[in-house]
Amino acid sequence: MRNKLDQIAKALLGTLMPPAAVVEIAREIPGQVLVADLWVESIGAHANELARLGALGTMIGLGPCLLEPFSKPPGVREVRSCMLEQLSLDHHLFREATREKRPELTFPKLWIISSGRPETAIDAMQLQPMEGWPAGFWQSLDFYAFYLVVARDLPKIPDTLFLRLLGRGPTLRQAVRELATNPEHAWAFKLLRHVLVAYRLEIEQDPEEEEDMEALREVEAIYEEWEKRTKEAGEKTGLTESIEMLCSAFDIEISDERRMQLEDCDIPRLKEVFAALSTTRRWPEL
Amino acid sequence: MTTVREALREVEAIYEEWEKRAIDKGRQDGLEAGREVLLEQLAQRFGEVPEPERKRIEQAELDDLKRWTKRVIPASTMADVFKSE
Repeated sequence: MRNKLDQIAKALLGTLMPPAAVVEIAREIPGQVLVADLWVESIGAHANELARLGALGTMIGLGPCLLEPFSKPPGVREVRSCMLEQLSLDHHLFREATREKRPELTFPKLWIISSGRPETAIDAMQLQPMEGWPAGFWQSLDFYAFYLVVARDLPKIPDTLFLRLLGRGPTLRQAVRELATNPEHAWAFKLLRHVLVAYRLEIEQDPEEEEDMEALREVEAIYEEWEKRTKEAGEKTGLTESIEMLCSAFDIEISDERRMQLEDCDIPRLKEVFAALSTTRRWPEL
Repeated sequence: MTTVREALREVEAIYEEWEKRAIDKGRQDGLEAGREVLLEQLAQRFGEVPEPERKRIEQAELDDLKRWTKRVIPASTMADVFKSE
């Protein structure tokens, strides 16, 4: 059974990819016990939607695919299990297309994204570095449509960021730091905050290595920053309510205009308004 | 086996709970200003605020705080401030 971190990695991919791709989660393959966890199609996606996913967008732009993240490098047997899913899904799609008299889909690609390098699987499958792609991308013979991404070996460039988020230890730590600090990735950071919190909680429960604790510290800083901002939003609400409380006691009307003025105030200003109200019992100039 | 869909739901729930807690903590800090003024007004008007009333104010939500603050001036005793409707 694959571990919880793999599930969180799939949650991350499932959160990140729409609308660049249609992500079908836990697709059942009829007649099989198997479930294809992440079946991705980018048909009809705009180029800029794929482009903002960087190398991940380029991967899914190559055609319908299965994505299989592994938080630990997979062995030969695990790779074979993924290939069985790929073949079963292809067989099912072929039968479905024949029955509905639709053109046959291209053979689905299988992308395994591994945190570290699975040396045994690379040797056994005689994988080759992908031509024209950065380090960390491997492929089989075209016939098998099997590809491997090694997060740890990817160059530390913005294009590979979302794939490096599936790494562990220093790879994860650096990727999280880039995600949090690069304004270009603000959209993704916003989407992925809840996944990062889950990462934090999961790693905290089972720190296998010192390196993962380092990655956790990076996530912790983001957690604290977000917690601070969220608390501030709550404090503004509380202060506004305190002001309402005084206005109600002193029969001071809060018009829509005054309410809008309050919304524009930061915390120190709201405190000043509150102090002025409590001493003068009159609405202050804002 | 946990499916990705379940994992996503689990992750969402963890996040929402965490966000709710953080917002509520901040809101309570903001409301603290209102609570302090109410305590000051009560002390000025009726003398030291006994522990049970102090506790009620600390745990009260906005509606009760508004009602009690409005009653401080017209009330004759501290009990009048806290009496039910």
